Amino acid sequence: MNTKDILYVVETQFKKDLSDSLGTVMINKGKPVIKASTDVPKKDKRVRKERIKQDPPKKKRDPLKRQKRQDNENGTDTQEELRTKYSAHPDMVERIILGNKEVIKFDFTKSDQITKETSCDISLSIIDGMGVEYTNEFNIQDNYSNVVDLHSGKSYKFNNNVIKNVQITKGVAQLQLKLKDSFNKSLKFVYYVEV
Amino acid sequence: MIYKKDANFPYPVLTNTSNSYSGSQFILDVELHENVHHYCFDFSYEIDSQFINNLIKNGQAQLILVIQSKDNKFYKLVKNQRSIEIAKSRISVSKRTSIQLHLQSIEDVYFKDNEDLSGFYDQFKDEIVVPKHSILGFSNVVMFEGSSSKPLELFEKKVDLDLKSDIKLELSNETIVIHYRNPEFQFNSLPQSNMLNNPYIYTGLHMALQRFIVNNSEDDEYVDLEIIDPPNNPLELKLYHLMKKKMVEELSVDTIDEVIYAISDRIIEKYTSTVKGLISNGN
Repeated sequence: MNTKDILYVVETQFKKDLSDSLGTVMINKGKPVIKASTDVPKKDKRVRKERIKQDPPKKKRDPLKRQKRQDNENGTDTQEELRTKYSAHPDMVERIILGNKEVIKFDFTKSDQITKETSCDISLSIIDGMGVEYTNEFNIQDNYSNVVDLHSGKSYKFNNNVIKNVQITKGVAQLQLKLKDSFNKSLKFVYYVEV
Repeated sequence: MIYKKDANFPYPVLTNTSNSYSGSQFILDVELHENVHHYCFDFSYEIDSQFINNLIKNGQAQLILVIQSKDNKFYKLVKNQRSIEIAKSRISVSKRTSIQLHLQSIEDVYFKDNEDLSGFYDQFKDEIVVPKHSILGFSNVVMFEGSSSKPLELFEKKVDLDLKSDIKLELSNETIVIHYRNPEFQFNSLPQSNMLNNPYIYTGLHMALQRFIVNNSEDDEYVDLEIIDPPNNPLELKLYHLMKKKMVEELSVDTIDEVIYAISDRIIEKYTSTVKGLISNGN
């Protein structure tokens, strides 16, 4: 019975799209090996000498991603209920260790989520190269001796592994943290923001 | 180890996604060839930071090609090296092979002459010293997939006279299968029968995307395609590539129909116009 072309048109379209995005197909002992295309986001090539303040390419993606609330069984803590926790995409956070201090900058200007907030709480966890997060292995109290606002010099409190009431000025928050000797300078982090 | 996700390093790192360097890229491309005894990985790369390229040239930093199949293999590259040959007995490409280029510091690196940094790091660059054996940058990941025997086929159709229903949609390991009990259900006798099967295509895609969500999300509702690793299941991997090609960034239970619309070529519209055409021709 003749069924071979029944899905022909639709299949052709999918095949074309798949072969476009998969690139070369090579045969490995009679079995195909395909290469997934390497879609690298192209950055704007800027003229290096003239440091014109350019708007970065318009990204519709919000760098803050709302976190699902861990179900609080008793549900009595109403103060807590009102707050929302977001993970901060690494491209909105920059950090640098200089000697025994660390400077971290959070740039909220590309996010539509917390435009009106004047302060937020910040927490962090260790992440390895493979993207695996180690949620409870880093303790702020054990690693930083103090946390201040880079501009105002105001000192921030931290407890329960959260840096409290960090001020957001013109969409930016900048912290300067003093490292304790035990701090492992090779660690990588992801950050969470709560408002 | 392959760096798959972005993370905040305590110093500027050159990648294609981080903002540490303004306008700088670290692009890798790899071609895979074989001869009787070897696989040959021919690669090219582009680093457009002058500072980084000078570090490589002056021997202050080392390029390392990481090839991950069943295990991780690391190859320190010599100057102008563009190819690596690996005996077939030492590597299998029958499953997934991921390849990434790393740049590691050989000695302490002072960043004060680095003109390529973005604003935040630029202001501190006089003080920035990155210790030896640190990762200074990493490229995109090039992936080869070897498990699929039908790499480009999304649908299969079968006639099964013993089917317990008129039609049955099934997700096989590599394809969406449409089983028909009666060949007539395929509209073979009508012109443009292929379009008349589009509703089954639609239903099949719906099923497959639902399973995609279940298998690739944490909460069975929402998948962020920018964050997940490419799925291991061959059918899901094809859907993943189709969605990526059509710039779909998110898939959720609520957006399945929108995603089908994005990845398929107007299948409902074509179905409708075919039916209309048949009616107006008096069929």
